[in-house]
Amino acid sequence: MKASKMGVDFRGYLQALIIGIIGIGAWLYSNNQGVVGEGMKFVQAFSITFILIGIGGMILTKYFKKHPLKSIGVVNKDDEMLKLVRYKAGYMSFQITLACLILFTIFSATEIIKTNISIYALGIIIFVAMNFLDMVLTSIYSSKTM
Amino acid sequence: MKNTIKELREKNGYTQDDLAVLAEVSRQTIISLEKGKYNPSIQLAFKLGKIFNLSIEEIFIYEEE
Repeated sequence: MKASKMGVDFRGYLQALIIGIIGIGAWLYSNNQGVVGEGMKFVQAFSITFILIGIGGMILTKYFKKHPLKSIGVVNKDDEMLKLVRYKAGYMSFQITLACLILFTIFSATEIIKTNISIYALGIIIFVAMNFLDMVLTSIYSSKTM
Repeated sequence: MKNTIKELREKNGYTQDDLAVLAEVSRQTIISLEKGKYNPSIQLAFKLGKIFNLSIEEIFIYEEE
């Protein structure tokens, strides 16, 4: 079985770039329609940040692959064990986020939680929470292997 | 699964980093293998066999639970 030619880091940054471009596209379209507001400002900043992170990340990934830092060495995130750790962490993050979403839905529907939170703000919260969980769980599972 | 990777590595004069590079895995994987905290894929097991010029059964000791 051949390993993917595109490493997980590079794929991640490429994904960020694509999301950023889609974001700018959506912003341009809505701007053309006369849409204004905090959401538009957020999307503009978010998309530009993602584009910069995507481009910067792809360049740096390629550079450090050829010129690894002495103190760190070559980091192969596509290594089979690290891949397993990432998959476990990703799956658990998804499960926890899903459970929280279901509970939030239940509590919102029964008005135990009353909130005027906008949908896009909810999206940001889910995105940040899931990424945070993913990082924490990856660290936990990774240290369990040592 | 128990294994003799650490002993074989030291016998051949490799550091964990050297072995990681030869086996095309991370140093963390080598550490986990040596501690018996990770069971390798069949491909990695074969690679290690090739590096040490031994069969898989001579490196990994399967114990029935």
